Amino acid sequence: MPSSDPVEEESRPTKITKMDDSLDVTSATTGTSTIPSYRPDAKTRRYDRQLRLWASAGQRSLESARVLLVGCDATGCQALKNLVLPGISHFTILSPDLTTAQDVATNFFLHPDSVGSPIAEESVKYLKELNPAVEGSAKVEDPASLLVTDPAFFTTYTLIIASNVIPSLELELADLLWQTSASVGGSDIPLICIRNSGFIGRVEIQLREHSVVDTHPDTTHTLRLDAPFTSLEHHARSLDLATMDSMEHSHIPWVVLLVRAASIWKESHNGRLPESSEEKAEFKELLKKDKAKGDEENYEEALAQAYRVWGKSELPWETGQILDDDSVKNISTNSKNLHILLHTLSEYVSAPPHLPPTSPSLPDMHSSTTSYVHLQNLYKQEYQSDLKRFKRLLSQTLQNIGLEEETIPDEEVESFAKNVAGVGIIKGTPLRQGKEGKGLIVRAIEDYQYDEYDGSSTCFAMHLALLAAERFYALHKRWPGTKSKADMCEDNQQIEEVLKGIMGGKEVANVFAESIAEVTRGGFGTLPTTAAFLGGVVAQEAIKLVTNQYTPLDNTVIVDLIKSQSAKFKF
Amino acid sequence: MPRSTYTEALLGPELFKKVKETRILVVGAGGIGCELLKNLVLVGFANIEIIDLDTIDLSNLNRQFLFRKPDISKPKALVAAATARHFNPSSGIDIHARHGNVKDSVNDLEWIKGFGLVMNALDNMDARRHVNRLCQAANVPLIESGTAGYLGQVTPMIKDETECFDCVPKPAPKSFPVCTIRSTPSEPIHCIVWGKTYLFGKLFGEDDEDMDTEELDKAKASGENAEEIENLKKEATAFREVRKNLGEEDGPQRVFHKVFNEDINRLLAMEDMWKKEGRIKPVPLEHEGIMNGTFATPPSRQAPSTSAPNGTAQTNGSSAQKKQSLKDQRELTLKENLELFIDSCKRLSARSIAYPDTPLSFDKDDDDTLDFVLATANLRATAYGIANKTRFQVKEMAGNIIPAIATTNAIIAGLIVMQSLNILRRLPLPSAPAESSAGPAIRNVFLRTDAIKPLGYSMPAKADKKCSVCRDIYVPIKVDLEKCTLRAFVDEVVKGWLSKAEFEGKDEDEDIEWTIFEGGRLLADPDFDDNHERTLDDLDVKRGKMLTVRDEDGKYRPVHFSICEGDAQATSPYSLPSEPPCVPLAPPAPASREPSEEPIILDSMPPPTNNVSENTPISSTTAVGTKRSAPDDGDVKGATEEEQVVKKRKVVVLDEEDDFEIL
Repeated sequence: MPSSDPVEEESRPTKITKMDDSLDVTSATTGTSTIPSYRPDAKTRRYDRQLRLWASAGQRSLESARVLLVGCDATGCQALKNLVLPGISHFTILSPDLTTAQDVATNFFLHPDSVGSPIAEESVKYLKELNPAVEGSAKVEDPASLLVTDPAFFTTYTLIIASNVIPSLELELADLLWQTSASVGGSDIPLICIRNSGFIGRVEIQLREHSVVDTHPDTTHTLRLDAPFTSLEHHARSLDLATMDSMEHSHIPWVVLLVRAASIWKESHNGRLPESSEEKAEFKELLKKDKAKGDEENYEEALAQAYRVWGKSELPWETGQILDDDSVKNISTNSKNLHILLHTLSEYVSAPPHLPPTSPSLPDMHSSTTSYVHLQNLYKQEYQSDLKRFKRLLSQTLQNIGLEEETIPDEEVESFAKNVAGVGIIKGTPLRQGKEGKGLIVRAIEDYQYDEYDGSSTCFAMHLALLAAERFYALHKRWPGTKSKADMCEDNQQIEEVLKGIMGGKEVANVFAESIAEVTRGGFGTLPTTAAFLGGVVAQEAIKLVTNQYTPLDNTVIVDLIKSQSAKFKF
Repeated sequence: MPRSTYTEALLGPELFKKVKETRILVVGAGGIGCELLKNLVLVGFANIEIIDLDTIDLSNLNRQFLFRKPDISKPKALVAAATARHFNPSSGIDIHARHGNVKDSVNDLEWIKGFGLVMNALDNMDARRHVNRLCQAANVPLIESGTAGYLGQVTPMIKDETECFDCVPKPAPKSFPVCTIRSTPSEPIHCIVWGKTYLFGKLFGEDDEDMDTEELDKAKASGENAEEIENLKKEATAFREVRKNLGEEDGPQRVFHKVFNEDINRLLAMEDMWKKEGRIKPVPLEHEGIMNGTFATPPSRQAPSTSAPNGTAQTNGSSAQKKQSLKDQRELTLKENLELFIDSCKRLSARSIAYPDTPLSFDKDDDDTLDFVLATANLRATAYGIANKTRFQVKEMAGNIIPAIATTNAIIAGLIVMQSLNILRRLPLPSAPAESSAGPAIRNVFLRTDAIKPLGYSMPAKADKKCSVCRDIYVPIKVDLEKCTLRAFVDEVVKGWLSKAEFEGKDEDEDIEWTIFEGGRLLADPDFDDNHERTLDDLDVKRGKMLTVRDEDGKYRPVHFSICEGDAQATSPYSLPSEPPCVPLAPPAPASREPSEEPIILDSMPPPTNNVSENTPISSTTAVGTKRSAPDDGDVKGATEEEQVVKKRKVVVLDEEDDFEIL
C-alpha cells in the first residue's frame, strides 16, 4: 500500500515538536552533543501499548511465532492483520485461488487491480505493509494435495488458522496436527478453524495440551489469615493495642488485625475458626470492640475483609486437578519445564502446611509506611524460605529423572512459585470427534432444551445447523443457499434431515429451523462486519495461545451478530 | 461487477439503501476509528465525515492500521481517509476528512443535524460529553464506544429512548492533597505528579502566578498547614527567578540546586512538619557530590521490591532464555537521573526559546517532556527515600496509559457497525422519510476477558429523569450575532416566542420570570438588565455556544438556545423554528449539575469592545458574588477550583488510551 498523501495540513497551533524532531531543534538551537539515551528503541515504542498487557515475555513469544493461514478470505486476512500489527515473526498464506471481484469487495487487503492474480500473493503484499518487522510469504498451492505430498510443511508453524476451508480439508489438517502433538515433548500446534455465513460466525480451536503460565487471576495474594506462618502470628500477637497512641492504632494494617483476631479466637474455640453465621457475626463484634474511634479506616477494612478468615487457605482446586494429571505425575527428561515444576509442587504441598509457597506481594491497605513495610518484609521472608524449600525439592526431582540442576532457569522457578494460582493446563479434544457427533456433543444433544431467554441455547442450535451444512457440503460439493433462491427451501429441508440424523431421533424444535434458515440465508459468504469481529476474536485467541497467557476459549465459540449473542461450548 | 451484491442481498434492498444514503459522522480516527472507517467503507456506507485533531505517533502503529511509518506527525483523519479511499477507488464513496477539534464552534447544532448517525471513537471524557450533548440537542442517534486492553463496550444512545452519556455518573479520578504533592510525598506517584503538573509547568508551562496563588489560598482555607502554604508561596516567587535564567549555560544546574537542595532545606527548617508519625525527612541532594560519587544516597524507606518491573509472565520454552531487559525497563542510577535532568532541562528550554509563544505541556509521547518528568520524579523520590521507577513505569503512571491492542478494537468496531445497522433499520430513509421499519433490538454490548462468555449484552437503560443533558429542551437559533442584542433576545425570543410555548402544568395566570445564562455566566435576570444593550457577539456568545433560559423558580426544564450561523439573506437578526417547544416540569429533586458547563471564573469575560462605554458592567463580575444562584450553579461557586476540575473530567472505566490528568 503506498503511503497516503493527505491534503495539506490546516495551519493550527499544535504541539511543536515530537519524537525524533526534538533532537533537531535541540542541536539547531544549542548545539548540544548527542544525548545519553535511556529511551526505548523504535520497536519498543511501536509496541508500547501492548507491552503493558502481555509484558516483554509475551512479546518475545509473539516475535518468535510463525502463523499459517489456510484459505485466503476476508475473515482470515482480518485475523492476520491483527497478528501482523503486534509483531509475530512470520506468516504464510496458503491458497491456490485467483482473486475475484467479490473477494475485493469484502477483503480490505486486496485492490481492484488484484483481480485475476493469486489471492495469497496479493494479500501477503498488502498485509506485509502493516509492519515491516514481520515476514510474509504466499504459497500458491492446493492445501489438500500439499497435506499428502508434504505434511512436514504444516508442522513447521507455531499455529495454524483455517479460514472457511472445505470441511474435509479442515478435518485432515486437524488429524495431522493432533497426531503430531501426540508424542510427549512433541510440538503442540493449535489449529483455529473459522466458519462464517452472513451474520453467523463460529470459531473452533483444537489443542492437544496447552499450558498457561499466567492466567492473570484476579488475585494472587495468599495472605494465610487463617493459617498464619509463625513470624506473622507472632508479630500480630505481640502488638500491645492498649498502650498504642491513636495514630499508631489507626494505622495497623488490616491483615495484622485479622491474623490477631483469628489467633485469639482459635485459642478460645479449640483451634477452630468461626464457622456458623452466628460465630462469624460474633467474630466481627469482637473486632469492633478493639476499634478505638468510630472512624478508624483500618478497622473498616478489616471488617470488610473478615470473610477471608473463614475462607480456608488451600491449594486452588484447579491447580489440584492439574497435579493429578498423568503428564505431571509421570515426568521424564522429555517433560516440559512446567510439568516438572508442577510435579515438584505436588511434592511440596504433600508436606504441612499443605499450601503453595507464600506470595511475597501484599494488596494495598490503609497503614503507615513503617507498619506496611514491616508486614511486607514478613511475607517476603516467608516467601524466600518457601522458595528455598521448593528449590531443594526441585533439584531432587531433576536429579531423579536425570536432568541437570540448571535445566530450569531460576527466573522461571521464581515466577512459578510466586504465581502458582495463575498456572493452568488445558486438555483439548480432537476436532474430528465433535464433527462426527461423538464425545461431549452427544451429551450436549441429549441434555438440550430450548430456552428463549438463554442465548447459548440459540447458539447451540446454530452450531448444529452449521454442522449439518458441513455435511451437506460433503454430499453436494457446494454450500447451501448458494444456488438460486428457489433452491433455498430445498436446501433447508435437506439440512433439516441431516440435522435430525445428528440429533439421533430427538425432536427438532422450531429454533433449529430458524437457525438453518439464517445459516442458509448467509450462503456461507463473508459480511465485512462479521469478518472484522471474527478476525478480532481469532487473533485474540492466537495471541493467548502463542504467549501462554490468559485462558483460551476451549473449544467452540458461536456468535450471532444479529442478536449480539455468543456462547462457548466444549465438544 | 457491483462491489456489494452479497452485502446488499443479505441486508435487503431497503436497509442497504439507507446504508448508502445516510450521512455518518465518525468522531476520532484512532484505534477504533481506523477499524470503523474500514468496516463502514466495506459495508457500503458512502457518505462519511471523519474528524480528529490528533497527529500520528509511532506508538499508534501497533493497532491503527491505516497509518504507516512515513505518516508519523501527519493528521490522523486525513491519512485514514486517504488510505481507506485508496482501497475503494471506484465505489463512489465520499469520505470527508477534517483535521480539527469536534468542539470547534463551526461544529454546531446545524452541523450535527446534517448526520443521520454519529459514531464516537474517542479517547477522552470531555469530547465524549460534548458530542453526546450535541446529539441529544439535535436528536441524532449516537453510538458510543471505548476499549481498554482486552475490554470494550458499545453503547447506542438515542434521545428519549435510551440513557445518554451523562445519565450515568462517572467515577472521579484520584487526586492528592496539595501538601502531599508539594512537601511530603510518600509514594512514587506523588513525585511523578509533582514533576509533571508542578515543576514542569513552573519551568516550561504558562506562567500562571494568579492561579497558583489562588490554589494555595484555597488549600489554606480548606485546612491545610498554613505555615507550609506560606512557604510554598515563597517558593513560587523564587521559581520565576530561575525560570528567567533557564536558557543560560548553568541554568539547569541552578534549577537543580534550588529545587532539590534549597527548597528541601527550607522544608526541613519547619520542624513541626516532620513530627507526624510515618513522615520521613528528606535529604537535600548535592550536584557536585552526585557527579563525583561522594554523595551518599539517602536510605530507602521501603524494602527493595522483589517483583519484576514488568509483570512476571514467562515463556515456557525449555531452553534457558536469559531475560533481556528492555532499555526503558531498567532503573537509572542517581547520577544518570541527574544528568538526564540537566540534559532534558536544556532540551526543553531550547524549545521554549525557539517557540516563546507556545507554552510546553507534558505529553507522554514527547520524549523531552517524559525524560524531564522521569528524572525529576526519581530525584525527588531519592531525596525522600522513596523507590525509584523505570522510564516504562513513569510513562504509564504519568501518561495514564491504558493498554490498547488491535484485536479489541477490531471486535468493537465490528460491533459498532452491527448496532448501526440495527439503528438504521428503524430510521426513515433520507430520500423517503415516511418509511421506517422494525428490526432487531438495539443493544449495549460488552467485550470481557471471560473465557466462558466473552460477549455480553444488555438492553439499553431508560434515560435518567434527572439528567440535565438529555432531558433539557434544545432550540436552534440562527443569529446575526453582531446585530442581535441581549435585549432583543430577552424581549422577543424569550418573552415573546418562548412564552407561547406549552408549559407543562402551567397555571392560567402564572407569570414566569426568566434568567439567562451562557455556560455558567449569568447574563440577565428580571432585576439585572445591565447587559441588555450589548450584542451577543460583544457578550462572547458565539456560534456553537448556548444561551440557557431558566425560570426563576426552577419549576420547568431549562431551555437551551443553540447558537447557529445566521442566514445571510435573512432580514431579521435571528430566526427560530416555526413552533416553540413543549417545556416539561423539572424533576422534583434539584436537577443534577450540568457537567459540561464551565465553572464560573470571574475574569473569563473578554474586555468590552470600544463601542461599549467603559462603565458598562459585565454581568458575571457584578452578578456572581451577590445574586442568588441559579438552580444548579450554586455548587459550582462553592466548589474549590480543584473540585471543579475534577468534576469536569470524570473518568469512564473504559476509555481507549485516555489522556486524563492526575490531579
